[in-house]
Formats: sequence, C-alpha cells, structure tokens
Amino acid sequence: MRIPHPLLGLRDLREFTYLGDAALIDRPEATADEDKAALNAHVFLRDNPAGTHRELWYHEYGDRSWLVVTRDTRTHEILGAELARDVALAAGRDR
Amino acid sequence: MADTALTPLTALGHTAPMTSTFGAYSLSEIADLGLASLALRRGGSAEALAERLGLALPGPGLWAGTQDGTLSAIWTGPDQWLVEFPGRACEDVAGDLAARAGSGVSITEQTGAFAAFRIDGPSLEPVLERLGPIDPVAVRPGTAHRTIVHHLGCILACRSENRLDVLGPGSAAAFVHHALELTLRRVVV
Repeated sequence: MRIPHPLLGLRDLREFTYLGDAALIDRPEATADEDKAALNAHVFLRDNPAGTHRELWYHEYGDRSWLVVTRDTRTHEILGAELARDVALAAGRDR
Repeated sequence: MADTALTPLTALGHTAPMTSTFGAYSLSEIADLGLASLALRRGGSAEALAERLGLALPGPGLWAGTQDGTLSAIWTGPDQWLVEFPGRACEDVAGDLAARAGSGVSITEQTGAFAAFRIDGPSLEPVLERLGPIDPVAVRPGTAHRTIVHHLGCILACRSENRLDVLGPGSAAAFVHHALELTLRRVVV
C-alpha cells in the first residue's frame, strides 16, 4: 500500500503509522459540565464505516507530518491525502 | 587544570573514520560533518532567511548547497531544514548558524545526533532497491528523502549519480552501518 503524500509523492506504507478517525482533530472544548458528553463521545465513540473513511496517518519515518488520508475500508483503496494542518486551517482552527 | 587532550571518537567509536569497499562500491563514515537544525517560526519569510544565510533553502524532498560546498541544507519538513557544515564537526556550527540567521528562527545543534555515511559506486539503483521502501526512481541528484532503513529513520541525500549520503541516528550508528554494509554485500554478490 502506498500513500500519496501531498508534498513528497507516493510513499510506502512502512514509513507511516496510523492513529485513527480524522474526527480526532475536532476536539471539543469541554470546559463546562454540559460539554462533558461531547468530550466523552470524542474520546470513546467511533464510527466504523464499511466504505470511505477519513483517518489520521503520521509520516513517522519521513517528514513527520500528520496527514488526513481518505481510504475505502472495504478495498484499502486510498482516495486522497491532505496535510492535517491544512484540514484544520480550512476548518477554521488557528493552526 | 586537568589534562584535556582527549582523543575524539567517531560515531562508530574509532579514532579514524571507517572505510570499506565492496566490489566497485565504497562505504565510508563522514566523521567531520557539522549539523544544525533550522526551523522558521510561524509567519516568517523563507526567502528573506535564505538571503540572510546566502543559501537556497530547498523545498520538499530536496537538498541544496552553496557553490563552494561549505554549506548545504536538507528539507526536513515545511519551513524546516537540516543545515550541513562539511568538515566542521568540531565547531559551534549552531552558534554560527544562529548568528547568520538572525531572529525568527529556532536552531538546535545536531552534529552528535547523526551518524553520516557515504556510498560511492557505479550505480545507486541496485543499492536503493535493497536498502528500503524508497522508490529508487525518486532518488536523483539533488534529492534528500527521509525514509526507513532497517527500522531506522534515515535521510538519503543523493549528491550525484554515483554518490549517496546516508544520515542516520547517531545513537544507532553501528546499526545503520550494518544495514549499509549488508546492502552493499548483497549488491556485489
């Protein structure tokens, strides 16, 4: 399996490690008690789709960038990869 | 004052850099390479920094050096580089770089963190095919890729069609050397 790194091109799977669902980027603030349910869902609850899945991969043995990789969980086909930083910035985060 | 006439050791633990040959290929330890990491802080200009350093700061997957070969930089991430000072391992290269780079950057000494090796030979392709998962086609003169070599993250800087420099973790210098030695033995079988 190869991952199309947005900066470095196609790179071998062995250079990467996997974290999980890309929704982990959107950590809720959870400063007030009523936010605790959202934080609980963020930490413990995951969708398990049979199909397209957006997930976080770390280019540990490469440039150490975090990527959001879109993968079909049924076929392992990689449909795209973006820098997680760009995804976070596009979502309105400051970094 | 104590006698401080100490004998420097190379990353492999010898008093002189190790060299060996495998058929038409040679493997040598580069013991005198000074290194410092350079990171541009958020909002800074890479062009202005390159101008202050008198060094082209390369983009993803590349390295670039000055004409006289005294200074070069390897891209290690967005707005991050590993700056090489050939022959200056015994000097305060991080201090030198900090003085040249001015403000708005973060610099750390890296000389002792890496062990550097050089492979010279007729063709790098058979070496790269056996070294790790990097696509040999992606390794051309001027490229520098960090990839995995025998479970260790190493930078492969291609200096020419016949020369590949491998920068691996200094704390695992002997393992990196073993990986390269094994690879070259397999190439010349």
